[in-house]
Order: sequence, then C-alpha cells, then structure tokens
Amino acid sequence: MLSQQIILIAEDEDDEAFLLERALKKATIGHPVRRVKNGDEVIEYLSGVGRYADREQFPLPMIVFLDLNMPKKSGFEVLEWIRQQPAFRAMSVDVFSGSGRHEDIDRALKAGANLYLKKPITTNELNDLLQSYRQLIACRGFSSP
Amino acid sequence: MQNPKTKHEATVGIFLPDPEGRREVVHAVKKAGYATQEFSALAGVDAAALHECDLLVVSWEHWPAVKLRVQAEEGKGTQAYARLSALVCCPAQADGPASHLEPDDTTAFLPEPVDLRLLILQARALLKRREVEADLRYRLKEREDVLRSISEVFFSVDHEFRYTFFNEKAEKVGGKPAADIIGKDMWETFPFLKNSNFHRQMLQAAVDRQIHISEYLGPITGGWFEMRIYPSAGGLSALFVDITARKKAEESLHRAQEQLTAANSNLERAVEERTAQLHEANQRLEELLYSIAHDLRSPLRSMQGFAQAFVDDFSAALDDRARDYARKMTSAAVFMDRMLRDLIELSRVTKTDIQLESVNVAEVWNSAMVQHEEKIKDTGAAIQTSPGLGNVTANQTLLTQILANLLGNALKFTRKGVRPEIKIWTEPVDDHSVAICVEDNGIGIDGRYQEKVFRVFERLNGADYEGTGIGLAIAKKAAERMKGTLDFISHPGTGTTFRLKLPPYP
Repeated sequence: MLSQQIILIAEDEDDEAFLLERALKKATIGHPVRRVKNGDEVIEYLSGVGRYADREQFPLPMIVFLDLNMPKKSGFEVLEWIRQQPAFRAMSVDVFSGSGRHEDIDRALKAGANLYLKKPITTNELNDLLQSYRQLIACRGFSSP
Repeated sequence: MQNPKTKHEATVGIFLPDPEGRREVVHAVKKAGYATQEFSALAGVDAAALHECDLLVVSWEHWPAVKLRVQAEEGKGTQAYARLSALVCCPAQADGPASHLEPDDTTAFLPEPVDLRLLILQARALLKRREVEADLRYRLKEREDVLRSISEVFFSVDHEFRYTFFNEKAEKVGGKPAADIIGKDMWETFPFLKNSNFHRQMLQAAVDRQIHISEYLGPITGGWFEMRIYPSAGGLSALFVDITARKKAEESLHRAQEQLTAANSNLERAVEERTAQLHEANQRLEELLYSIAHDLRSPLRSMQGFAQAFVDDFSAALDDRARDYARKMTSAAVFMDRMLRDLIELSRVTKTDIQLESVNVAEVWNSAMVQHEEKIKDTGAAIQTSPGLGNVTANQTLLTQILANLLGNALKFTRKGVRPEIKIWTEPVDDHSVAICVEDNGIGIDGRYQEKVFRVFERLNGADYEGTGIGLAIAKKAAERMKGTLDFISHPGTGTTFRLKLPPYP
C-alpha cells in the first residue's frame, strides 16, 4: 500500500481545522493535509468512494487526526470501523478531542486509538503539544517530507 | 320497698279465746322480746292493728275468719299482709287440723295445750323465715327493678320459651307491654325472630347451657346490638346492648384507616414518581451542564486561536495597544476555559458513582501538597501536619480534591506581607464523624458569607485573587457525596479554619 504520508484531519469545525493546520505547519509537521468534516466522510475517504475515488488527489493517509465529537458518525464509530478493516489495522489513528473525560479517553484507546491528545485552549499550549507530537511521529518511523 | 322489721321489733298479734291461755302466751311472747297486740274478738280486729302484726297466734276456732280477713286485706293489694305468718293452735285430737291442713312456709300448727317454749321457737322460726324471705324478695325486687329500668333490652323466658320477664326497654323496642306477653310463647309473640341468628343462638344455648355472645344488626331498630344469652335455672335470659355508636365508630375508624392506607400508598407512589422524575431531570441537567461546558470550549479555542493568529500574522501592523488587547482576549479566554473546566469538574463530582473506603488522611494531604508544591515554595508557606491524622471513610479522589482545594485557597488568600501558616489536624466530633481541620492565617472570610462561599461562581475577593469561584462549591459537593459536611470558622484578618466532617473509619 502506497502511503503518501499525508495527514487526514477529521474535524467538523472549520475554525478549529484552520487553526490546527496552521499549528501543524508552525510545528514543522510538513505533511500534506486533507480534511473531512464528519465520520461518514472519513469512511468514504478511506474507502475511496464517491468524490474520494481519485487516490491521486485523495491518497490514503499515514495518520488520521480524529475529532471524537462529530456529526453523523462519531469519532468512536469511525475508530471501530477502521480497526475492523484489515487494510487499515496498522494505520495511525490519533484522537484530538476537546473532552478530557476519563471515560472518553479509555473508550477511544480501547477502540484502537494510537494516541489521545486533548485539545489545549491556547495557541501556545497547542504549539507545545504539536512539537512533542512531531517528535513522536518521527519515532514512529515516518520521515518528514 | 323497705326492709322488714327485725325480730326484736316484730309484733305478735294474738287471737286466743281463753283469757288464761292468752295471758300465758302474751307473757311468753313478751318475754321472748316481741311486742304484742291482743285481740279478744274478731270484731275487734281492725285493719290498722292487723297491719302492724308480723306474726299471728290464732286459735283453731278463729283461724278461718282471721285467714279470710287477712286474705281480704291482701286482696286490696296492701303489701304488708302479703305472706303474713301465723301460728295456729289446734286441739290435739286425732281429727284435728293436722290431718287435713298441711303447715306451709307461713303457717305452723301448735297442738293444744300450747307449749310456750315450742310457741316461741316456732315464732322465731317463722319470723326468721319471713325475715329471710322478705330480704330475698327485697333483693330480687331490687334486681328486677334494675333489670326493668336498664337502658338495654333484657328479657327472660322459661324452658318452653315463654316470657317470664320483659323489661321497659324491651317493651319500648318490642312495642308490647310486659303484662301482655308474660307467659306467652316468644316465637309466636314475635314471629320475625324465627330462624334469625338470635333464634339459632337461643336454641343452641337451651341445649348447651353456655353463655352465647354475638353481634348482629337488629331487625327492629336497624341498629347494631351485642346479644348475650345467659342460661339460668328457669330458662334463658337475653341482654341486648346497643352498640350502634361503637359499631359506627369502629366502621368510621376502619374507613379512615383504609383511606389513610390508600392515601399513604398514593403518597408513596407519588413520592417515588416525583423522586424518579427529579432524579431524571437532575441527570439531564447535569448532562446539559457537561455538554454546555464542553461545547463552549470549542468556540473559545477558536477565539483565542484567532487572537493569537491576529498578533502573529499582523504583528508589523499592530502597535503595543493592539497587542495588549489581543493579549487580554487570550487571558479572558483562558479564564473562561478554567471556569468551564471547573463546571465540568463540578458536574463530574456530582454524578460520578463513588465508593467509600478507608482513606488515610496523611497520604491524601501529602498528595495535595505535591499538587501545590510550587506555590508552597513560592510563598514560603509553613505547613504543620499533626501526627496521627488517622483514617476516615471517604473516597480517595474526592478527598484529595477537597484537601487540595483547601490547601490551594490557604495559599492563595494570604495577607500581604504575612508568611502563610497552614495547619492540618483531625479531631473526633461525635460517634458519627471526624473533623479534618485545615487552618490558615490568611485574610479570613466574614461569617455572613458562610453560605455564599460555597455557591458556584461566588467570589468574595474579586480581582485581587484569581479564581473561578467554583472550587469551594466542588469541595462542598464532594464532601456531601461522601456523606460529610464542609464548613468553616473564620475571623476576618486572622485566618480561617475549614472543617470537613466525615464518617470515621470503624
């Protein structure tokens, strides 16, 4: 499976998605980014159906950056679906959620999330978090483009 | 009716033809202690004189006439003559009166010539009998009068169920005078009684000779009666006590009890329903609180993010004032985020299922101190931990939260230029609680704000001290979740002692 080492951001809020992309760049995580707005779109994207049929334009991601609280299918449902697909078992799914509830964290990790990141409130905190995240994905063996 | 005269007051009337014999008799009678009334001839006997006599001593010749006279007086209904006793002196011939006259309770025969000692003995016996009988009659009469006049129905029947007694109340209820029915068959007199419960009970009592007691609804008056049937030598007696009032009281009591029971179970059901509704509403409110607090953080992140992006991207175009505004936007967003987080925490403390277990207070206090390590170092606070804080029945997480909060407040609300001194100790309150006391030497809290400080978003000290005003609300809620209480004693300007009362660990 050819992975273009892109990051798929699943986030329903445009503003949050914008700020996240901006922060990723600032943290020098320079992987190309694609964005979907809800759980159904994640599944369509990964399945390569509909408007996501073109793998040139919408290549399979190396990381899914997954919000939990999304319309249609929630992040949890997406997680469970991904882990049921043999092709995506090894795909990194990192949860990026506003919830700090222990129940949510436990549930996400049990459902197969590789990482659970809690959305910080300030840009500075977010920058710090993504700095650490950059180091972490480097350790996973993904090379920076 | 008066009691009869006693022996010594008794008067003996003497009808003897022979003056000699009479004198002897009179003498003997007087000697025996009786008064005498002498009658020389029948013509001389007047009713009043006869009336005074208790006993007559009569010669055989006079006896039929005296007897007639007495009977005539009795016929007039004069009470006093009833059963007047007589000693009849008879000649002792073989064809004497003894052969055709039998002595009875009121009459005795003395053979002539009269033996005076025998006469006195007989007189005494007759008078005694008369006295006893009169007394008995008196008692019976008295009893009968009582039975006659009692306010309950009472009657007696003989073994053939013929009426022998029927009291006034029975007359009233039965609608027939006693005189009309005495001697008559009960079932013929009152045919509706046949085959009634009363009928069966009477027949039963006639056979088993037992007292029968039962309650029944009277066919005549429609009231409730307690029926008591007593067997006696002569037949049966029955007493009917009107228990309508008691019965009504019992019935209304019974009804009231039923109503009360029904009302109680209704109330219980209503309370259960209301409790369930309230519980559900509460749960929904808490969920709402959580989701509001949670969802509000997303736009907050964006506000702050764009404020920062604004400064970053347009830095060259902004002057210090513009950058300061952006900084204020950020700090406002940060503060609001803390409030939201505290709200989430409050709702979490409120709804999370907790388990109570033995918790070591010293251990929990240590972890609270670790949480505030930096602040303790910064303020140079002196913390005095009493030895032997012991264990309480609590939840480790919640207790840590409370003590960390109290410690945080003690480190925060300090007086300027005064080194914080914080003490913790435990003391028994009663059998049900132990108080964990955390004392500081800070600014103190006015007692008027006892309630206010525990309310959400209540801040007493405004901008001088940072904080969201939820901390103590969370601590109090956490205390309540552990079946405890949280309050404080404080003197403004000298410090505060918070007291967390919790069940002791047994």
